[in-house]
Order: sequence, then C-alpha cells, then structure tokens
Amino acid sequence: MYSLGEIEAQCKKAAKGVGLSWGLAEETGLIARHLSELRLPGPDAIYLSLKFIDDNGLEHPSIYEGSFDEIGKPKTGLLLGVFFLDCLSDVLESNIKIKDPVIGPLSVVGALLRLQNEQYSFSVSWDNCQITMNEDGFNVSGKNINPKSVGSLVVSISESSKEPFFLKRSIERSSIDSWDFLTKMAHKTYVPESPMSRLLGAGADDNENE
Amino acid sequence: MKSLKSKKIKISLRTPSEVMHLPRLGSFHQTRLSFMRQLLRRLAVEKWKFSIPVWDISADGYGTAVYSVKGPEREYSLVTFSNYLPADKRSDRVIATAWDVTFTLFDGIPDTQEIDRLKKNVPFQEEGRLNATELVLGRANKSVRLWNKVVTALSEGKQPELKDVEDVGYLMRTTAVYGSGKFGLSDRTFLKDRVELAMPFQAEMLAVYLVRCFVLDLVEFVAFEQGGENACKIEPKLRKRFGIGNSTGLGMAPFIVNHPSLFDRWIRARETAIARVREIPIMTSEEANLFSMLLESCYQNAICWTSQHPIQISKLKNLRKDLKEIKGFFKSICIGDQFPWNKLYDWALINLTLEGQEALCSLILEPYGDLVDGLSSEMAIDENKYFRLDGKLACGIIINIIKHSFSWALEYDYKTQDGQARFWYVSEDKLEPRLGQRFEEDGSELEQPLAIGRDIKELYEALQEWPLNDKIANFLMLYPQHRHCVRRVTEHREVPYGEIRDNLIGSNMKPIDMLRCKLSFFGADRFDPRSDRWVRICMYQNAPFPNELVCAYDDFWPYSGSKVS
Repeated sequence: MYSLGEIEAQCKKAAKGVGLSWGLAEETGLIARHLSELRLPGPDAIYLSLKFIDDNGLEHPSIYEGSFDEIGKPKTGLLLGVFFLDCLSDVLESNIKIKDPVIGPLSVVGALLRLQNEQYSFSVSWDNCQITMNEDGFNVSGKNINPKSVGSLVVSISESSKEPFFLKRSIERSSIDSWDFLTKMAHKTYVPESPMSRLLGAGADDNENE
Repeated sequence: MKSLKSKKIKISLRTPSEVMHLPRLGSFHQTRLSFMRQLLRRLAVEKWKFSIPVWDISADGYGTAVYSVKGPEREYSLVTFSNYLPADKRSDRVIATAWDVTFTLFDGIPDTQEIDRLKKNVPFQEEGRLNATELVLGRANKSVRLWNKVVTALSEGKQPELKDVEDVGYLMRTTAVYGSGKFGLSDRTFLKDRVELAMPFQAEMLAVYLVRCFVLDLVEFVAFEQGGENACKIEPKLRKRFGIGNSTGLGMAPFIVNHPSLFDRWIRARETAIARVREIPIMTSEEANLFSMLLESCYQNAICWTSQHPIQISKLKNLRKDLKEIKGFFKSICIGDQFPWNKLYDWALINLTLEGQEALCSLILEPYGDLVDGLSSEMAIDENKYFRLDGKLACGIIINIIKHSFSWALEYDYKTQDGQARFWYVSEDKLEPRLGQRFEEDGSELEQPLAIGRDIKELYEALQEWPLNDKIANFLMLYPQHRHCVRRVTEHREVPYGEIRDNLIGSNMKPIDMLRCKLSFFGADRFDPRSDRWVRICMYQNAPFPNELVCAYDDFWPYSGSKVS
C-alpha cells in the first residue's frame, strides 16, 4: 500500500532505469500518480509499458511522425499518451484510431488526465472499455481496464466550456502487483556503494556526531 | 519640521539575475515569512491548545510520549519514542540505523492500538511503514556535548552554564524529517486544503516544535529522577535559549532545483516584501526604534554565533562588521527622511558584503508585519500548473527564451574539467543523496538531472540544427533527452525566480549555499557548516513554549536571545 508520492517517485525512477530520458521519466511518474488518484492501477499500467521497453528496447519515436496508424509496430500507452499531450493542438476535435497494437493502453488515459485542470474533455476506448473525462465527471465503463495489449485504440479530445468535474480524491490505497519490477528498475538509477562514496559523497563522517 | 507628505516611488523587485546566484542565496537569513514564524504566529493567534495525553517514560528517559495540539478545526499529535542508543551507533548520517528519539506527527489523537502500531514502525524509520494518518516521520540524536551536562546540573539543583547552552544551542538535533508521502506518510495532496497546513512545511515545522517541547521536558524529567528533591527545572528565560538542532546534508539541495515553481514562490514573496518596505516614504519613530533594537539583537547574535568551518568563519566576520556599519549608518537617517529603507538598502549595496545586505533585507521587514505577513499565503503553488509542455511552441521561441533568460547557462564551458567537476547522484546505500567527483569516482553515468546549466546549453546547441519554425514536439520526438530542459525553459516564463543561475556541477560550486537558502526559509539560524555539503543549524531558539504562546506571544522571538543575560 503506497502513497501517491511513492508511486510517482518509483515509476519515475523505474522509467529512467529502463532507459527513458529524465523528462519522459517525469511524465511516467505523473501518469502513474494521476491514475492512482482515481484508484485506477497506475503503477501496473506503467509496468506494462516499461516491461515492453525493457524487453524490446526503446521505441523509436519517429514511428509517430506524421502518422497515427503505421501498421505493424506496437506502441506503448506511455509514450503514446505523452505524444497526444505534446501534439494536443493537432489532435483536438478529431477521432483518432490507432490500428497498431497498443501496450498498456491505460497509460494513455493517465497522460490525458493531465488536462483535468484545463477546459478539455476526452474519451479513450478499446475492446470492452471506455474511459471518459468531461464536465459531468470521470467515467469508466467496461471491465477490461488494464489490458496488457489491445489491437486498436480510439482517442478523442475536445475543448470544453468548463473544467471537468471530479469527485473528491479517495485517500484509500490499493495493492500494486508490479511493485517488485518497478523497484528493480528503479534500482538501476542508484550508484553502487563504495568506501570512497561513503566517505566523501555526503561530506560528513560515518559517525558525524558531537 | 519636515513635511510628512511624500510622493510615491515604485520599487521594482530585484531581478532574478541579481538574486538567483548561490553566493547571495547562501547569505539569506530568516525573515517574518519563514515557515517556523508562520506556524507560531498561527498557533498564537488561533490559541491552539496543548496537552500531553501519554507520558510513559522510564526513570532513565526511555519510553513513549504523546504531545497533542488542538486548533480550531483539527488536532495533531506528536508520537515520540525515546530509546537507548549505544554511543557507537549515534550518527547524523542518513545511513544511520538507530537514533535516540524517533517521532511521527499523527493526524488526530492516536489510541493504544495506533500507538502500538507506530511503536513497531517509527523507530525503524525508512525500514518501517507509515499510513495516511501520519504526516511526518523523523528522528533526533542527543547532543553529546550538552545532554549529560544539563542532566547533571539540574539533578544537583543548578542551572546549566549559559556558555555551554550558547555554544551548542540544543539538547537534541533532528537528522531527518520526512513528509509528503515518504514511507507511506500522507500525501500533501490530501493536506493542502487544510488552512493550517496549506503553506509549505507547516506539518514538519509543527512536528519539530513539539519535539523541542518534548526534549526539554525529557531532560528535566530525567534530572528529577536522578536528583530527586534536589533537582530543579531550567529557569524559563534560559529554557527558551534551547532550540532544537538539525543536521542537514545534501538531501536538501536537490529540492530547490527540482521544485522551480515552488522555489519561485518563496523567493518572489521575500522579494516582494523587500520591495514593499523600500517603497515606504517615511518611517515612524516607533518603527525606527524597533528596527534599532532588532538590529542590536542581531548584532549580538552574530557575536555569539560560532563556527569552526573556514567558510563560515569568514562569513561571520563579514556579518559582524556589516551589522556594525549598519548601526552606524542608520544613525544618520532621520525620522523625516524620505524613503529611509530604500536609502539604507542602496547604501548597503555599495558598502556591505552579501551577508550584510541579506541580513539587512531580513531586518527591514520586521517593523512591517501588516505589509509583509500576508505574503506568506502566497508561498505555495500547485506544481502541476506549468508542467504540461505546449508542444506547438516553435523551436525559435525556445531558443529566444534561452538567450534571454538562460544566458548565464550559455556562458559556462562545461567541457573543461572544472566546468563539470562534480555529479549529483543517489547512493544505493539507503538512497543517500551524494555529490561525486566526475573524474575521480565511478557512477557519473547515473547522474541525477541537476546539471541544469549544462543541459540547457546542450538543448540550445541541439536546437541550432533544427528548423526555427518547427514545433518543439517534433524536436522532442527525436531528442527526448532534452525534454526535462524544454519543460524548465517554458516553465521559466512563469517562474523566473525558480532557477539558480550558477553551474551546479562546477568545481567552485558550494552546496552549502543551497542548504542555507532553503533552511533560511524554514527560519533556521546559527548555520554551522561541517563541510561544504553538511550543516548544523538551530531551530526555534528563543521561541516561546506552549504556555507562553497564547498569553504573551512575542513575534520577534528570533531576536530575543540577547535579553537573557
């Protein structure tokens, strides 16, 4: 049972640990946090993208250049979500169909939740799941909330006259299945211990004490 | 008699390029806006009530105590555990595994079951797990120099020697105080709407204040158990001289780099306060007298303030000299003089070191609570506000912002050994933040993203090869390694005081300046560096205890030390 702060920090470090840049790692931490705030399995969604990247190497970002539907190359929900945010002005008011496999599509929702303090609404749907955010609230329908992979994905983002409505965040914490993997990846960002590091790195003796 | 009528002048805030350099930031002092003072002001005004519902402490000072405090809407409790600690285990480092005292700030009043749960976790600190009902986790170690002396004196019915108290300043020092969701603690998200915790570090400041109360009670209790009817309590004026120490390492430094929008709020509030006072056309005799009194107290404090570290010895020498000069110059300013504080400030810029200039900036705020204190409510921010990247921004705009606001970053040569001598990292050893020597130590490939200047310059150089009118989102598709810097650059337009304008990996960089800057916002005093990256401070020295908060709160308590003798 972890706090939002722990979830954000762990996912950020894990993303860096699998080789993403610090900037993308920051996005990763926030995606996990935003989903967890709504009691959705944020870290487990992030895990799917990070595991894919760890197993297959980094996606080359240029797969997105000018096209949303290049056939045959799987995309991670994590990077796809960040891409939608970055290209918001280009994707507004259109119904975008991703026809390639999407790994961990719930992360797309986590990224779009960044828009919750602005006047936007969105809908993301895949097989047996639709998630919407608009001035009436945040709604999840269907049971296939955090699939490992989906064959296609539909995203629409619109400007809205009002900020979306959210109920008060739940303080309850959920268990996280993928925590061990995230811990292992996060550990890759730490410098191994050495006598020199221990002696000099912090600027104080072991027994700094008076 | 001079006319009191005066035309208004508009004083601009000091610019980021004037303020945001480490030597100046590292010369900051506490102010009326400091978080400790914000907290005590609230506790006094709102007449918070204190109680000690649990005191289960053995004769030698070990056991459990609970200190509760009740405000207008909510109650909080410090749950503290005092344990025997062998001398060879006592360490202020993050890598320590046992402490004299451990504590948590609990949301409400804990029942027996809650206390039992906390007893199984809080003493283990990072190895334990906390719940959302706990807001702060921390620990403290006894001052080996002072604890036994005070116990012995009190048990014999004597007061501790003032000099001993002055030399150390505290009986225990905290060595880590965690909040904001660490180790399972409550997230700030769930606290920020509580008015008493809305401003930064208020929960942490409350926990530390209550620890100070506990420590003073504990030392008197142990002395009474040893001395019986011969023992005495510490005389109230001397009692206030005991603050609570804090030993701080590099963990504080990354905070102000990693939270630019929050840091901007702190600096902006302070700079706004300074500008407002400089705009005052005429000072009254009461204001002048108050300033003179606090100036004298500040000078006396600087004389008592000692340090063994060469950096601080030099700074203290400058501070004492500067304060003396301020005293002299202020005598030449008359009550009817126009814009007296601005005159004083302008004089200070020419005649004083940074230590003196910043001490003066703190001092001139003191007579003007009405002008200044409201700014304390502007020192927090939703840090997500500026986080989303606007991908449609043209690369040329990013280049222009860098040229305009990050020219300092472009001036450094990061290819030299001196230019990139250090790297910031997190050790796998209890995740202790450390600073390495890039050309002498392993691990620089795992560098934390704190080399802001170098990374901004790399972004700038990469953008030179990219079409100026293309969207930054397209650039980041191919060069995601620059993403964190693009965000900083775009965010900077809104938070210009959020960026330290120095090379944070250079050979001459002194992390101690970053520590001192942050600690000054806490309200810390008596900075005593142990190295260029490790500092001891004193918190709440001279602060009123709970019984003194409500009946006769002295808002100028940080300056009241010289009244003791």
